[in-house]
Amino acid sequence: MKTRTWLPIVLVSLLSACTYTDGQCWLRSDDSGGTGAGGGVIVPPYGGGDYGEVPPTPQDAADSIPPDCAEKMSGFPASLFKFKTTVEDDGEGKAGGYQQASATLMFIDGRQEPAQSWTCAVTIKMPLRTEKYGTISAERAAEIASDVTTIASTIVMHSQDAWQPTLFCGKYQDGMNAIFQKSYKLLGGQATAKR
Amino acid sequence: MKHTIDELISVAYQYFPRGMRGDEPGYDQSRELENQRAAAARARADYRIWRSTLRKIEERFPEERFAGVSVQDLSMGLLAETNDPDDRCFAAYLWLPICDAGEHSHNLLFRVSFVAPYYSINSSTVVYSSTYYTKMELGHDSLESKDSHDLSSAEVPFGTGIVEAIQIAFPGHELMPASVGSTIVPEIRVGGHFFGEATIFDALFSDHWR
Repeated sequence: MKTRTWLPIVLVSLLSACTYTDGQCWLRSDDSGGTGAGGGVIVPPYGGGDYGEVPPTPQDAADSIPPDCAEKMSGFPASLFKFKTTVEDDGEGKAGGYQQASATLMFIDGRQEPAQSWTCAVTIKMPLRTEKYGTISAERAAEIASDVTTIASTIVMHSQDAWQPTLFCGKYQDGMNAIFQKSYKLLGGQATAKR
Repeated sequence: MKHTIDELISVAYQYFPRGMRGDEPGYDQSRELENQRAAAARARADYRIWRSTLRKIEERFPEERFAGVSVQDLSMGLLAETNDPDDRCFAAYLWLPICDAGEHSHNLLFRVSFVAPYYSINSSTVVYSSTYYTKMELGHDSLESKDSHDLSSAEVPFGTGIVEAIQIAFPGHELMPASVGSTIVPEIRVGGHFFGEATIFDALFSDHWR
């Protein structure tokens, strides 16, 4: 029997306390039933925007981190966040319009045995234009969302030794909003996270 | 105040189902969530009143005379029709000039509830943390936020201007004291705040803008 020794888990920073751990790297592109992210997006590291209901197929075991895993372990990428306009900018005042993106993010906590995984349905919202940031394109919004979700995941995950998933998603929401209000205060962005 | 704390908690229960965590079946279809959606729809219809209030505050503190002072509307998202409303209040920042080298930003957050006749106002200052001075670079741990419901003498004139504008636009609204707003509402979950954590402020105003 093969031993799986990769670090498949979410963000490297998220689990920096536990270096390598057992687990599997699941490749969405290998899963014929998957409806989601496709293109080799690794589900455990951070999930995809349309996380499929059919369990993905485990990638073959190896003694090192598969290249796709290693490549994707630096955080939730901006490509997960497809921003759509929800309120058109009327051009009046110093700010206007609104946009939002939703993604299902997966977290794996390998600090316990066995590793525990769960998802949070995350929605990020922000204006289309502000005085400080000017026009905020969907691409720029996605970069900000990537930053906020990644930083908050690290902080919240490490704030407890273990998590009950519903509790984690709630605290993750608080964590993301704290990042918005501290580091992106002039943006006026906000986040929700639900199980 | 118009209401006792118990009465305010009862109002909160009209918008958040008791004993439900938020991720179980029936939560989104509950009468309380329907009440939130109805309140958000009414607020959407009244949004022009809020915008007018912000304009009056801007006119009171024009940038030409008050360098570094500006208003930021935080309620633009209310205009989006959604089944998942975020807030029970209108909210905005009044940005104030930075007066200390250790400050990163300084503002007054003011909120007007549309589910109860109250408003709130508090001061928030983001300062550089010791981590920043160690690394001399900005990162997620290089800033600290300091919040207070007690305005400093320098903030009071701005707070007064905000309150006067609110009282004209939303007659009958009263300031909710922090001691009341910080009271825990048992048995409800509000956003990221679980049973035993959510306050009257969270339930009747916002769990985001706080």
